[in-house]
Amino acid sequence: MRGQALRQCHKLLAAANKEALLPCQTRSATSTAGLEAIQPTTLTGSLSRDTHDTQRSLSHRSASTSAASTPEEIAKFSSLANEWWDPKGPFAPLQSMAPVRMLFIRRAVCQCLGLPEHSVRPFEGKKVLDVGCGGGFLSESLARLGADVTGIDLSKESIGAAKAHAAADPGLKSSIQYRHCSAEEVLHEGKAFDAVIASEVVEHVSDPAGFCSILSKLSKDGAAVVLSTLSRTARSYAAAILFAEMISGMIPRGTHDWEKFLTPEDLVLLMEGTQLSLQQIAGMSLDLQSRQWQLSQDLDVNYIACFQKQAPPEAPHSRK
Amino acid sequence: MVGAALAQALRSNPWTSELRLVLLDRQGQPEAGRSWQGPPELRVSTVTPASVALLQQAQVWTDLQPPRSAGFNRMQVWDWAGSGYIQYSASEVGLQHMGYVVENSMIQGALLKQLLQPGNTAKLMFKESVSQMTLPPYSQSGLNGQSGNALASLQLESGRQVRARLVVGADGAQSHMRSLACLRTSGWAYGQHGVVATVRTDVPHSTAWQRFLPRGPLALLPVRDGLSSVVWTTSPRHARELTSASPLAFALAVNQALSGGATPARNPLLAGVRGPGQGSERPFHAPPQVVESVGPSPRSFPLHLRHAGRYVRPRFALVGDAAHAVHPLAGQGVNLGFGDVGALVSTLAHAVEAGRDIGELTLLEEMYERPRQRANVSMMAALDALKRVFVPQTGLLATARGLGLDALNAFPLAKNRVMMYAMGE
Repeated sequence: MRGQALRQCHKLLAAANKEALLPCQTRSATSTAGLEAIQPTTLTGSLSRDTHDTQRSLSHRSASTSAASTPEEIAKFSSLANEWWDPKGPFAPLQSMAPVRMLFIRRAVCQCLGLPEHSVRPFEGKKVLDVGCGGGFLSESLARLGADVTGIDLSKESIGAAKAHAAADPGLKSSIQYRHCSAEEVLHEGKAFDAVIASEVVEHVSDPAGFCSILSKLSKDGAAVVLSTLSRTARSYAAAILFAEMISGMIPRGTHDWEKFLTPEDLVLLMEGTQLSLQQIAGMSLDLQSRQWQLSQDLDVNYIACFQKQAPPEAPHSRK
Repeated sequence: MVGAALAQALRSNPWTSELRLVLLDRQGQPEAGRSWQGPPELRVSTVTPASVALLQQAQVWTDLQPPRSAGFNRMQVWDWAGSGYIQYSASEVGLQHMGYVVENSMIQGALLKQLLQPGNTAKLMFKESVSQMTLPPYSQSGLNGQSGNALASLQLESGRQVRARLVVGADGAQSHMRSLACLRTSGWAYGQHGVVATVRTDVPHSTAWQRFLPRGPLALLPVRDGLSSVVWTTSPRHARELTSASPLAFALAVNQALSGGATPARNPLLAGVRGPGQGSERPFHAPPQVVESVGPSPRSFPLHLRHAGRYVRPRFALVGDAAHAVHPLAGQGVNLGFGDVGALVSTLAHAVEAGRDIGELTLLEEMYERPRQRANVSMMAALDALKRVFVPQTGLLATARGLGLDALNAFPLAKNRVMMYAMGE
């Protein structure tokens, strides 16, 4: 059963990856055909039992039942908060990946929500939640694309840095609201969003399954949920732990806990259990010649995925 | 010219068309869409097909194409010693024209006409200059936000203030903006002057003629109305003599320079050398005779090579001659500037698409400065080397040069590569 589910999962990943990497001109013509070939609904059905197994095994990795990051995780970021925007500082790799992530987010969210992809401000009027916003790399970009952004982070210092950075730009001040709080708190306020972004967060939380279910609940029906994270492979261990932390010192030691990394399969199975179905997925690889990050087929190290919130089968018209 | 091209190219790109633009010019407002009656202006540019593509994107090429400018479909380069020559033709690369010779003021006028169209949101301010500029610091480490990300602030002579996410310095070789941004340049004066003039030839032609003379290269380029433009690099003293000569004396001097000296012949050393499929020899063409100089009297200006070590700072970028002033040989100056414009427009288009700050240092460094420095430095080095190889006229070097030209002519592959390069491909 598990083997069959994984094979299905691989097919789904391959189709979603193809979708994400299609060039603009050809995409509109082939997109529906590409996705129809795989029946997302039947896939969800056949995966359901297995999903629960995975959720259980994932939550067993941590004794904590809270979806939130641990205090130690938060402290890691707080201690570096005033270096968020230094292009040569510890967050430089994160900063350099932000543009390619934004290009993925722009395309995937536009397609999910049926927004004009070639518009300069396609997210105009849309409510977007940036979970774990850090210094605000993505929040600022989302606001420039027109979104009404709420950026939340558990590190008070990071929120302070994000606020100060955005405050200097008169174009951003009114469109971003930064808050030092958890996703649960936003949920308890009864808010729901057109798009929820959690970039490089799921690998820091203690209960990924619980975290994904909160993301789902924060989304309106049909909303887009985008996650980016690191896969749990030998190569990601070499790249993110051995090279980036130990050898080059590019990012501080202890930033990542490889055990907590999720493979794309783990993530898809977690999400399918929370009414979120995979739309697009892409890897991110560094082009050594231009030194720019690019979207790729390689999901082994850094990857980014977009899911769409499905209406619950029992009450298809309920909307928040 | 390059600044206006940037503004108009940004306006024509769907990603950048909504950016709010303010153009400042120290000079008064030039004539927009100027008429093309009367003799051509002295300052002309040789526009490569790559630059034409940019001008097309900027929606001004229809105002610049022949008969408002002149195309050339052949190029012939030879030297005073007569030991060899080289010919390029557009048909070798399947093009109608290798380039066009356009008056600088015509390009400026066409751009301005577009920028002044009703509905154009670009704000133009003439007779205005910058007295002070405040840019954010390079490093944002330890700064808690605010000042690190602040907008650039310009204090104008008129007392007005402008704040911007990105300031572009396009104010030429003696750039004031460059010094306000504390960007240094390196370079040297060539100890040479460029003399420009418009002349009438006995027959109209469509070839770019270039001859390397003992004191520097002379180019005879077709311009509109069947006239020709002379761009002559020479010693300062000779330049003074030329600019004070009568129209007839000037014509005689040009004819002497083009037709005097040794007649180029195939180098006997190369008699046995032939490229594959190179059956027929391309004959040397004698340049047309200059009859008189027409229009405004010839002018001269000193030549410099100047290059800025950095093109960018946070919220600041240099384009065109402000970043790199080159020898006018082959008319590449404006093409390098248009190359900068193309790169900066695609950088800013990417920034808008990805929701990035258009004045962010990393963006400007990686997508604009690095590729443009590479392109500009290699072109400057090539032009400088060409000039240095051609100037000494005696001994072994002259023979080697003749050999070089001849060998290049015989091998179509190598020659095409050089030509594509000269055409900005």
